[in-house]
Amino acid sequence: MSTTSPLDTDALLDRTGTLFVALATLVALFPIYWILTRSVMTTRASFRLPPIWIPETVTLDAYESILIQGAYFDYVVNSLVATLIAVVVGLVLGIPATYVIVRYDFGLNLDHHLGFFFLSIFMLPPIVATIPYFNIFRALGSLDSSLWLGLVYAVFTLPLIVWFTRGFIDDIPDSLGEAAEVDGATHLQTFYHIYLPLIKPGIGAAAIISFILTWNEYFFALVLTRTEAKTLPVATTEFVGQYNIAWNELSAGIVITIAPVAVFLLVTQRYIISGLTKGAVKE
Amino acid sequence: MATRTLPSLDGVTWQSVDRRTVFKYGMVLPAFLYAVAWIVYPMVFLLRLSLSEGVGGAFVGLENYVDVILSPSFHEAVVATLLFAVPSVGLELLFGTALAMAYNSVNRFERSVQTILLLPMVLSTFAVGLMFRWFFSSNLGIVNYLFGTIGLPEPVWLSDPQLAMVTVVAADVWQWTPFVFVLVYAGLQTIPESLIEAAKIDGATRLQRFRYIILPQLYPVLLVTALIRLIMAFKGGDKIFAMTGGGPGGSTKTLTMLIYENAFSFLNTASAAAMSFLFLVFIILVSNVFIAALSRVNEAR
Repeated sequence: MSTTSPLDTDALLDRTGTLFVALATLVALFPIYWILTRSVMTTRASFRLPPIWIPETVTLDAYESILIQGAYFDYVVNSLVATLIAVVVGLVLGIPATYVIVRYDFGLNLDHHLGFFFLSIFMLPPIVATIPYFNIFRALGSLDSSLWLGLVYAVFTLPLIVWFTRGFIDDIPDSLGEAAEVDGATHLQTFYHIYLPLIKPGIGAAAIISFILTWNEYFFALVLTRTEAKTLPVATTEFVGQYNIAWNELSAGIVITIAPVAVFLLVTQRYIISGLTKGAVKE
Repeated sequence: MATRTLPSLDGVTWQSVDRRTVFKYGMVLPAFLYAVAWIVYPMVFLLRLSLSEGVGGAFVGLENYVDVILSPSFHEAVVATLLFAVPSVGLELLFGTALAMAYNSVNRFERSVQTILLLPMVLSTFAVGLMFRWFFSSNLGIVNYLFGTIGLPEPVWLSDPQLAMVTVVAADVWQWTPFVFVLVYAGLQTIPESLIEAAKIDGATRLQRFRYIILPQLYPVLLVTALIRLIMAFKGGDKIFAMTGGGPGGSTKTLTMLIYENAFSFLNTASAAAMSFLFLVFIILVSNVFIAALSRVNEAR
């Protein structure tokens, strides 16, 4: 180090940086490439070692077998129903709440406490909540229901929604709302006609991240569903623990589970990043 | 404060103050009550359960807590939780920050590179667990195949008590390094260019600039990121569930796994409830340490 001038160190670091990013990209991509390629192989080809790096023939047997012969399509529907219920309920409850917490004074620092209350839901481990949920659901007869699962998920989207939209609401100058109110707009009109359109990117980001985390959730679905409402992440277990794991079918199952969110990321990356970072960098 | 939107105090009538109050509570109460119904009520249920023999059973005071605190399996689970969370989050912070620095300084990458770098963190943690379980399978996995090709030993990753945890940590680091990357990268964009330019003019090398200019500026972001990731690592269990199921020999049996086992396999619900509360207290304590550190850093500037 002492023999090289700062300029050389900089150039060296520059090259190391490029190499590092390239390597990281490869590491991030490889497992996904692997699963994707295994999913379009025959069962025999999928577990061959030395591996087939680039498949020469493509077959959709695995997808056909799990979607058409298996019940995988039902699991897709179950996941979708629970997730959509969660996102819609979460947004309908969470956005108005975040709006007044940011813009209104509740006295006694109550707005601050309310915000913290919603954010602190994030700290609750799912396993801790499943014990009372399971017992309460069993008593109510609401186990194995996509609707009830979605309603559970909704409450866990609240911290994300507060986290993701708070910065967006805060960014809008207060004078805008005040001007509307001076002009005779009611509080509700100001919220609905002035603020809501302006924080659309924040709402989008909150909706996307809520969708992703709910779609991927495992523990609640494992404990609170059986067969009727079983979701995709739980269903992928079906390929494991048997004597013969059909790797191509497991891969296809994983692809179906991760495909929607991967597409989501591609389309909405900008919103996810801005929502995520507004919450963290601001605080 | 209640009058800030009105031109003068003359405009304030009881009615307008009322409307404001009705509006703000009307907006926040549905979400608040929903959260109370789904969080506070179940926690009361859980607390009562932890103080009784079982669901609907007799009150036994702190007996369950004493039993749990004295049981070796609980201690082992606490250790396993820390052995999973601390190295995972530590490595993620290290790699994520390095990646953000590299990505930020070398402005020659396509946007698609960023998308690829972010991909792991939006995938189902359980599916990622299954993927890595396959990769690290001793005779069918790609990792051992590659190790064999270059002449390295081929360990039984997931059946070895020490290596099983290494494997789970590897999967976690793969998935969550992108999360640190995004937040730190955003943090880097908020550092004033002039600060770095000034250091350059003063002759600071890149490493010096990182150590004395950039790193202190990143402190708050790093603290927030570390806190979020630690909470996620503590409370999550999907990946361990998918990869080892808590084995071999309980070496990856974190608190989540232990509570699950007690509540739903052994039907030892009251103990599981007591463990849950201790777990919750632990998470709250750790969070408070970080929040205190964060407010100290913020005050210092």
